[in-house]
Amino acid sequence: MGQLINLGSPIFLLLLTYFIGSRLEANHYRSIREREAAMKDMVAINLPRLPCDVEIARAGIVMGSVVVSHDHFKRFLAQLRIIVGGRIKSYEPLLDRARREAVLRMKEQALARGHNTVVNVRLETSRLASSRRGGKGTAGLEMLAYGTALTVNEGL
Amino acid sequence: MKSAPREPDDSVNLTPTHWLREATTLTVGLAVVAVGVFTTIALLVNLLAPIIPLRVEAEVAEAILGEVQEYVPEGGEDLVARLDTLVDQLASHWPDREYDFTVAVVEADQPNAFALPGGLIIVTTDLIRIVESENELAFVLGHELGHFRNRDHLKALGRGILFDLALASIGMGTGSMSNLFGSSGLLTSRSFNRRQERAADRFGLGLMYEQYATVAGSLDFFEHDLGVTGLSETIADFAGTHPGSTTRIKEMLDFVEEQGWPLDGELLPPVFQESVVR
Repeated sequence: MGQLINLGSPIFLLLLTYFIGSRLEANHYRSIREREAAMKDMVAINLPRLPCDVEIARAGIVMGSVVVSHDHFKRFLAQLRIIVGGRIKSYEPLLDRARREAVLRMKEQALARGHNTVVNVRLETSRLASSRRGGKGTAGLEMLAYGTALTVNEGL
Repeated sequence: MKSAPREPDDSVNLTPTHWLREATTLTVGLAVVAVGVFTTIALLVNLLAPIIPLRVEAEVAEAILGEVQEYVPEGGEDLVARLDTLVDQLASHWPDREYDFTVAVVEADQPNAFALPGGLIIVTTDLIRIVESENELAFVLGHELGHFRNRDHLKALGRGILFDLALASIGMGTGSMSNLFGSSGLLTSRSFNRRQERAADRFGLGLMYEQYATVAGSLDFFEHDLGVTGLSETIADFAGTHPGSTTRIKEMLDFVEEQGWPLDGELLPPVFQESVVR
């Protein structure tokens, strides 16, 4: 019986985190798509300056940052994958969500400050160390999107 | 210049995957590999265990004795002396033994006995408390002597160490991963153990018969913990170290009948119990 509990509880935890994680992911993607659709007219490009002459009223730095962590189930999948190699597919949605959320937050900040364009957009990540495995584990990632927000007087 | 704003698209950076299927494929695949590796290790250990020199075993025994000192109950010397005598009596019916047996008693709430390297037998105080006759304890001790004869104690220890090493070498020393894969290895290793338990049971019965001219009392030990029945016992039989009690008793009875050993006779009182610190 003890063995069954030993074996059953990690499986139960994996399934539980799979269902919770999938639910949260679906909700997040819904929110991302809605906000992306709403803000698709705001230009965000990675050129250092606009490739045309326009009148710029104001400029300032904007950034959007998001800290994400993998759920237990996806981490388990990744650990299995690491043994045999190959694409760690279970981390793809996580990083995709992080990138898109960071860009969205950056745009939202630009919008809140009255800008309508962001140039020189950059993305950066950094790993947050966890106390697990003697500080070598990963607690999560920070995805940072930043750029120079401009208020362009005429529409692009 | 006009920009043509477009919504980012989901498809490029995501691989469509059914996560549960991916998890099942990876888990089952790796479990099969793990069982293969562990079976190989277990077979190798079984081949190598008999050639480990006794001198090495004695050194390990020394180290273990040092470790268990803190669990030894106070005033247990008298008990240990009585148990030593009992073990010596039983072992005298095993002429080609290679070990000098040492008994150590440890305070614990589980009735149990272990065979450890170098002829060291560890007996828990709870086992001493629950047995109702000398014969009953003699069977348990004879069973442990059976493990020594087949050098099971080294096999179990060797497997344990190598399994841990194998897990650690792929970075699964801790966490839920080692739980899952440790278990698949454990189940494999236990199917070896169950066979060893049966052999040890038979050897213990033989020693008992030589000593008392009856195997009466040998099955009493199983009367104490017959809490599991039916389905849970089948699971216990599969997952447990020892065969489930019912299966085990039946096998022992069949063996005793085959040998023509009497199952009745007078039981000796458990005089050694006087020494247990209560």
